Amino acid sequence: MRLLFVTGSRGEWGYIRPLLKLCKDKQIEYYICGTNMHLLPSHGMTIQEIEKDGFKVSDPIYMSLDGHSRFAMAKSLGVFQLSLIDVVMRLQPDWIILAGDRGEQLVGAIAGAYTYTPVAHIQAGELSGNIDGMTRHAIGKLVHLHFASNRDAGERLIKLGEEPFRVKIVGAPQLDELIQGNYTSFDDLRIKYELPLGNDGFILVIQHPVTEEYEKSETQIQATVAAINSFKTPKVWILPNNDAGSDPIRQGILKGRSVNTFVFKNLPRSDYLGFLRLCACIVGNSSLGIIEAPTFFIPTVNIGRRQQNRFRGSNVIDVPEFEFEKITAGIRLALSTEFKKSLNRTENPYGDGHSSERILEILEQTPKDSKLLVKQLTF
Amino acid sequence: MMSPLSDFMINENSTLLQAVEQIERNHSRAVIVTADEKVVGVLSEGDILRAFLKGANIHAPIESFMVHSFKFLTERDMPKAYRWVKKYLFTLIPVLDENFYLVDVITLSEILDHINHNIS
Repeated sequence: MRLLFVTGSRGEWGYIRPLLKLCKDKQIEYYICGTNMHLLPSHGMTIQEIEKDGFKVSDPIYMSLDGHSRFAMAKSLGVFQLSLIDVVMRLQPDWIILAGDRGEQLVGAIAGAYTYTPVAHIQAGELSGNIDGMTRHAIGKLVHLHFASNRDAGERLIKLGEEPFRVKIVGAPQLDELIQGNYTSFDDLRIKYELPLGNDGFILVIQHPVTEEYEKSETQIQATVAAINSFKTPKVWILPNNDAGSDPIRQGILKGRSVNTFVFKNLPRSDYLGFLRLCACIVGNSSLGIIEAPTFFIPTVNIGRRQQNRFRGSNVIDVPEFEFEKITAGIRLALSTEFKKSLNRTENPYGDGHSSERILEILEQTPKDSKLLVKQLTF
Repeated sequence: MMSPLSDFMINENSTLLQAVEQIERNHSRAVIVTADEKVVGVLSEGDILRAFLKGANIHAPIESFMVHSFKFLTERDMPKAYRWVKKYLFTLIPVLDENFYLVDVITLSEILDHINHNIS
């Protein structure tokens, strides 16, 4: 079996890495087409991370026109399409593997659909904002196989007219690395960071700016900081990345800091997951609280709209507004023994951390016949 | 003679050049970065070197180069300070109050004095 993966940003890389590791173990022939942000020095040249993880990017393709405008972006996709078709023609893969909701993935779907090359899409059927959400569903129309991370996403695909045999609920592959134990242990974290964390644990806080509300970042962070500081439990804060509105958040965190607040900028993912596994609860608006936290039975206090479209499990306490009283009430509930107990046997709605194995098995067993390649719309 | 505490502090809106000048004054190879008197980070000579290696200008703001996850003490715990110096080769350790205001610093020379005193 010969697989061609398409990746244009760090986001999808996290989804496909566990799958690629498995391909390597099983000696399945794979090719990686790395494009867009992976090749841009201004976005950290993340192609180097892929190589550091031990994978060869067989087909690096420059596509991004400068300018950061919508017009430049739409035109860049055309540049990618010109090149990707040649890669598909040269490699003749058994499957093109796509993930997520970005424009490069849509180009991958077009390349597959028009050349009758089988295409599978990971993270299919979910809801996401803006143009990305539209792109995800457009990809769904063109591909031959949908890997959904939960029932909610799977049902949406069927409602959108996809034939049920194409929809496979396999879980979210980024949980695979959690189950495989790719996180730093408590002792190692303690030694590495010398944190005076007692037996009551700590609150992990991650707050990102909300893109559509970034002018409210300052008041939003003030509410969270005040609420967090009203608890005596030690806090571990992870600073947000550099999106619009992140500056006031960083300022708010640093100015509201006390001696039992530990602040980190870029943590390695294994340390990040180590902190998640050990915290008493996670507070803020990171997807970590929705997708990864349930695997470790961690309560999440999810504030505001950033994650509003995401399907969630019973570990999530939603606080719709950035208000002191409501946030503190949410944290009190999250820290209560009753709530913790209620999570004891809950399942993560994003899967059990064995998605990659399922995906590979399905790819190997699905016959590449006309039933697969000629799509029928059910509506 | 020990420099006044203000020589160990620098405002977060300062430039790399100003940080170097402040380090010249305090002889401790690092400065403690504050915003409205509150400690927000630490910037060492090493951090400044790394900034230059990334191509930063001497007039660039220190903001993106300071470290937020620095180690601090809440009292003059000299044995602990010594342990950290041995482990991390620190040259300056801030002593903070409950609300993250700088109340004191421990310098490398003070720690050396402390060991010296214990030996003799």
